[in-house]
Amino acid sequence: MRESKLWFMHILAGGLLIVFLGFHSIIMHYDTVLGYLGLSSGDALDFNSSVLPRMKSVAHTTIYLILLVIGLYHGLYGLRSMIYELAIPRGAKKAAGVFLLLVGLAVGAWGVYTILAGHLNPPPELTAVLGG
Amino acid sequence: MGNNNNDNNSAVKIVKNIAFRIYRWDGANPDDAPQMKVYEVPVYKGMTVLEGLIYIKHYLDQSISYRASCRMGVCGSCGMMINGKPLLACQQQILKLETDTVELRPLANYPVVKDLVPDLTRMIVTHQAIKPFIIRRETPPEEIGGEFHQSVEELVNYLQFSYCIKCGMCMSACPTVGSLPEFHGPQPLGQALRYINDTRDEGFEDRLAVMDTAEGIFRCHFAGACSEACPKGIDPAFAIQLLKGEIVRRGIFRKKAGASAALMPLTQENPPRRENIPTPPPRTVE
Amino acid sequence: MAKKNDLGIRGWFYAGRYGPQRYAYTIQRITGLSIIVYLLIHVFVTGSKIFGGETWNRVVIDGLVGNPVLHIGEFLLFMAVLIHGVNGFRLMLVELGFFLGKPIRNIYPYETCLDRNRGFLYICGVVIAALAAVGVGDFFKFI
Repeated sequence: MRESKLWFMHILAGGLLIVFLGFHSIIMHYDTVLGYLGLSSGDALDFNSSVLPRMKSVAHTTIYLILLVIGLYHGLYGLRSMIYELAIPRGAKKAAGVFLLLVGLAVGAWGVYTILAGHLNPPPELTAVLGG
Repeated sequence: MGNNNNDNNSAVKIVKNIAFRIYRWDGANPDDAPQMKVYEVPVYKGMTVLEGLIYIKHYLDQSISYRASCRMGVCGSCGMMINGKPLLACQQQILKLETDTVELRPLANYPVVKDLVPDLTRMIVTHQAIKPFIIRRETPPEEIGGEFHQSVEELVNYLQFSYCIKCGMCMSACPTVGSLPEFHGPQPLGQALRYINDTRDEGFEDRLAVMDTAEGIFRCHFAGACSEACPKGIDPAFAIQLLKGEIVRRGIFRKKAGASAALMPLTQENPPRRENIPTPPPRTVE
Repeated sequence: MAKKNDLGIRGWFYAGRYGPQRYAYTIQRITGLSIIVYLLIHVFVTGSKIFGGETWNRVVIDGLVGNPVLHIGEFLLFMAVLIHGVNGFRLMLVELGFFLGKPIRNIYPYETCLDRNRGFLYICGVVIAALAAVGVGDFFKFI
């Protein structure tokens, strides 16, 4: 594909990431603030009250799938463009590009599997709190 | 040797002595390590770095090499790294630097030939590659035999980018050129926009094929150093961003380009060219 | 015989006496690199949720959040995402040719697109600072 199309997809993915990763960051890192606004059920990393409900929610599952795909594309294209900016042989750059594509496909496949498996077949609630 | 010239020129008041630390390396002795040599230069108000170099060559060390010609910011020969930034030596006043040492190095991102002399071939070659001339689809421009209509607005659209003096300083400011020698660089890409924005030109597709590669225009990330370095206000960073937008609009969204400039109708006010205009001399380069 | 004199990769990270846009480029590069490395790890770490609450607590709560060094690292990552995102918003528009003004007649002293874009850059800085302040409060439980 022409570089201009790959680059434009990179820019588009970046624009979408601002929206979706913005939501994701607010939910994960502004949980105290959200709690004041009555929008949060407490610690964003607590399994029973936060992680499990997010896994069961259709909206969150969709957001995670979108985030995974555009995040991997945007990030790995950015990494590829940095590799292409190095003064190394062109063959090595092409090989690195293919390698990053394979990394993206592998990580993406595992990510899609965990997101969908968590949504379709959520694990049971935690009864005893470890280390707590 | 010595600075006894001051006596001959009593009208000039020496403000202070400034140390010039100058990069010295000779391609004739490539095995010698480059070294920084220090020269003490008496500086008067308004004295430029180039004048300092001329003083050194005249009185202190005749073996030093630098490029210079017009000494007034027109020819673009004397670009060099002055205290770490590419500047024209003829335009930079020494006292305006406000330092006690002036460090001079050859332009970065070009091979050094000797001392402060860089080899600008890299820029010239890529400049040629983007076809820096008017391309017409039907007839070559020299056979058209008339004049094209172009409004003032259409002129301003590319005028800014046509003042390039090919000093090559934007290329030595660019971080991408620094790590990727195959990157076209700000100068050629800026000139590509100069012709693409010209309504007389129809060569967008030709240039797109050259620029739209993995090591092409999209390796620019708007660091903006080229526009800071440009001594003529060409603003190459601006040109490249406009060009990216143009490539997206025309290359991806298939937006049609505006009609290219039409020939002016032949009227009483705009008569046909006279018959006996001499033909241009034959080409000297291929 | 000529001697190579390239900036090399040093030019990516060292911005010298250039202006704020040049520094923004360097920061964008460093934050981008750190985020993509994190993302690849993140997919596997949070993927542990499908193995149930015990695994989640062992890997995420005890392994990462409980570790004070990694908690600082998580904050640095949050800052990287914030900076990369806000500055990326500016770059997205700028690299398509917006917010740079129009071609002008260049009359000395020359005005460049960097001058016309500087306000946008400073607004981005203010937005980053404001969101970071909230983030600091939330991370270290000031609020």
